[in-house]
Amino acid sequence: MMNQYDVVVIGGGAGGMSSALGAYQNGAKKVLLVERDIELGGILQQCIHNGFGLHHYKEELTGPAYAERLKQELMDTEIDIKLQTTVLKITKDKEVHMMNEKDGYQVIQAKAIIASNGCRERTRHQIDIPGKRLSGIMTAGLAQRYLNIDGYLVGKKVLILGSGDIGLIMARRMTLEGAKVLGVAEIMPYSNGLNRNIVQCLHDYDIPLYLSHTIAKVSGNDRLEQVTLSEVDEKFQMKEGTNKTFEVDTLLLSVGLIPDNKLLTDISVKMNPITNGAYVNDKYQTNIEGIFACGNSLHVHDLVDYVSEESYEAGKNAANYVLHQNKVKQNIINVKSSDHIHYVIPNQIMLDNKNVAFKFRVTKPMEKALIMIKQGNKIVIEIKKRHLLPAEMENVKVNKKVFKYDDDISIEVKGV
Amino acid sequence: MFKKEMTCIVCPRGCILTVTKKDGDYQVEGNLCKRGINYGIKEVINPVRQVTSTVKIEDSIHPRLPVVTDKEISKDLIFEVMDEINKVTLKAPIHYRDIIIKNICGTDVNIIASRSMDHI
Amino acid sequence: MYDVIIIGSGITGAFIAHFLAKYDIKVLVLEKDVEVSDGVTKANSAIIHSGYDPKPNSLKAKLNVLGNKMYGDITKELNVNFKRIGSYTLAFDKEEEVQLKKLYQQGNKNKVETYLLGKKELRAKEPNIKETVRLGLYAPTTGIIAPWEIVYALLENAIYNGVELKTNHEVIDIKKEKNIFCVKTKENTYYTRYVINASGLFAHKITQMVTNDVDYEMRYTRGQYYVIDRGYDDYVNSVIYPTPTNKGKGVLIVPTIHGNILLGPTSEIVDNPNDTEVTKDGLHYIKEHIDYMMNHTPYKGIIRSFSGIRPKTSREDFIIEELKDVKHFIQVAGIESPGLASAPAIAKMVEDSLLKKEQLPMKSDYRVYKQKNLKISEKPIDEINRLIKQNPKYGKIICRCESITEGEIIDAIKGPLGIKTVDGIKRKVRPGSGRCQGGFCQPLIIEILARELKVRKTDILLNNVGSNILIVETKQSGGEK
Repeated sequence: MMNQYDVVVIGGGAGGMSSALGAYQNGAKKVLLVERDIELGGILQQCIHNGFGLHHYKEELTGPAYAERLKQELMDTEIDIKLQTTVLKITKDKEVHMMNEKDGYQVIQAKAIIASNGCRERTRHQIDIPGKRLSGIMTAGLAQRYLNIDGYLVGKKVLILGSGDIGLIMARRMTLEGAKVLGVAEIMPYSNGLNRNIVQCLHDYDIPLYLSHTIAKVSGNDRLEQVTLSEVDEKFQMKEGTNKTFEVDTLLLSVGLIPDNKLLTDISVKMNPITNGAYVNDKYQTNIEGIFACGNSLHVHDLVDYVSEESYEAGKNAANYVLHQNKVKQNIINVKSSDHIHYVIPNQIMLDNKNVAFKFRVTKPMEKALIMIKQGNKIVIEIKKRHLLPAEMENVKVNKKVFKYDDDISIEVKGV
Repeated sequence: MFKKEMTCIVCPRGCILTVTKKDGDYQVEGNLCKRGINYGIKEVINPVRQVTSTVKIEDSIHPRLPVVTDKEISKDLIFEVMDEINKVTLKAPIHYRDIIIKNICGTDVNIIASRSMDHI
Repeated sequence: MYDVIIIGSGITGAFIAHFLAKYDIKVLVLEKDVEVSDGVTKANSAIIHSGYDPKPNSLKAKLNVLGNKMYGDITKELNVNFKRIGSYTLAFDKEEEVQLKKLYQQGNKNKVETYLLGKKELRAKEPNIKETVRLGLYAPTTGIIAPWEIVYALLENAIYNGVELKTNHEVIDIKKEKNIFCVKTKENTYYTRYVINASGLFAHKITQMVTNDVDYEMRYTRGQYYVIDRGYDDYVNSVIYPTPTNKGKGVLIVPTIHGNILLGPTSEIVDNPNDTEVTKDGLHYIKEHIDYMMNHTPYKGIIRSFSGIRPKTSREDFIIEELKDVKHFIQVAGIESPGLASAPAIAKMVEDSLLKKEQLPMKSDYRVYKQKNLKISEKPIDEINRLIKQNPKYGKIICRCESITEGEIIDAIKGPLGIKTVDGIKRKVRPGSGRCQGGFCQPLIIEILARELKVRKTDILLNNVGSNILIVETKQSGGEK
């Protein structure tokens, strides 16, 4: 007989652990958490800097400490955990095919599946960096793993492309461990990282930030030897005569993260081309009933606290789905992003008197802005904001009572 | 008159603070909450940071253990702290929040383990 | 003392080594790079062309058509993936239409099966071809292969049957004294009765070591490509070519044997055989030319770009001949497109020329090398479980994008080729070829390589000498607590 579980959670990072807890603490009896690495924690284990947990644990923790806390919560439950186990595929009927050294290839029947298997880094190839393929060019997260988990520096003279948080944090980490970081280049006219990281990772160590700059060329023989930066105009075209050359042996790329969703796209789950995650309703359920998605495989978060919150909800909803066969399909309305909103999650809500958390990002930095949640032309909710940044996900909780079974909901923002 | 601009980092909001000193008193402007005042003044008088790094560890699943200062430490001491951290070699097991180095660099700050690491 | 030294371990050298492995003679393959198949062979369109394109009566025409035919049996024998998925060559204006009709005639002359198809038929077969298409030439025998995979299999088989391979052995000088060649590498000197120069981009330089009479010029032609992730199967089913021009076959769309899609190449003359840069202009050129032919190209799925250099010569045809002034030195040069398709036939030609000179005794114990368990995750569940019971490492996925297990990687390291670099492992068993481009599996590959080869992690190379990935271990100031 096939092994059966109420809820199978794929991925043992912050999202997976939180959703397993959510499912278990809300009544799911048999919960299985599958993790491919040798331990739980996911990417948190290599994020050894602090700044995690302020919302969720009301104290400032490092990444590994945040993982440790979640792990401790899991240990108090009867959730089954399989480490060093890779899910190879899932089916629409909610079979989970997985493999490890001890049990071999196993097929498990789940009543609900939660995909919380994180994201991957965008590489040089997705941004067309000109030049040869050389050793010494790698994604910042990979260099972070080598440094923080394995204990190796990937280079001694470093340039970083992309001012996302991983890039900024790696600038400081490489500096502290003895490398010389010559600068961080960012194609946008503003940084995509948190202010705190710009101050504490760059300003503190006098590392220059080159805004509106991109890479004109990388060169070297087998190892990187030189990177040429060029300034770009408003249309991101390189400006002539603005080249600056840096003698470096390492180029780290912090140019974005992409939700990893092969398991879902293989069974044709409907995907959102903007987030590269699934389309979900406010239960975090995809268009296939009983298959849920959350965490960084749904959309890339900037705060792990929100990953936990969202994933706990997804777990709770999965438990409810299993226990009560919640299949209410009435009163569903679509949610859309409108002016200056890059994307919004969820993509659908089911009208009742519960709360929904709208998560969205703006398309550009804005000062003194007004967020409007509309239904048709009617403004239902208005929120004033001093600062809005694309790097910071907005998380607005609304009681669904305010909506009517009527037009689509749209979220937009405008300057005031 | 002393005047310094900085980005507040207490929360992700990142208020732009202007700290001025007039007649021995510090004044902070641009802050949206009270925490910004403390941050701004502190950043001028005695900027402090938490330091995170790793130490060598043996007989454990990974060869490095992440560590962190249990309190913030003067910004000027960061590289001295690193020098001390780099000298340590531990043996597993280590428990979350174990003290790895007590009173580092003569301060009242300890270096503690960011996580547990089992013996293998 | 060797009977034959083959210089170069690309597709040509590998096929020659394979064909000579059945004879009871001493054969040595010398490769300048750390891994085999690291030059022209690793970066091209990966197509076994059908053979209608080369000028009738040229060596290219003859060997392409024959080579294409030979691939079926050889790949079956060595258990290498090969599929004849057919190709459509498209005309979008009157001029191209005329040109395409000529090609059809040429195909007949070269004895290649081809059909002319109209817009309707074309778009029924390949719905993403643009409405503006006027005529297409269908060639059902066009095939696809991973060039390095066949090279690895050929050399594994050759080594298994006694051929020697020395990588990281760059030939720096060759002298002929009496009837013996003295081949010098940086490390050593080897003696041989025959030299086969299959050194690709460096063929003229090797030939210059024995003669002042090199009667061709080398023209390094760079081709840039994009690779698209697996999972876009509904984009194309077959190889799509534009109507060729005198510059070459143009920018193509190639479904790869592993389910990816290649877009490219450009065609640019460069000065340096190592100039494998990709450029903004080149990549833009690819998109522009693809968009001329196709709708709905899934650029969103791009996971990689790369450049390869092709060794074109001023003689424009393949050069496969014994040097007139240096007997027993066989030069195989100018193996540009359709070199991959022609390689088995080129090697056969070299083999035949040796046989004309002397009778070669057959090995009595020649046996085909059986490759270790490949692509574990694609096998039936029962078989996977049987394998995992034998060796649990077959149950541990290292590359999540391509589902490659630790067992397969260890097999590659311990196999006849003795693979020792991250790129070598990637070419043999594919970890790092997927969406994340090694972002997740590279640390694990380095760990496995260092463990199995008993070297430090900082010694592990991405590909060639000097391409170390990890530079220095942290926390080396020592001390105990």
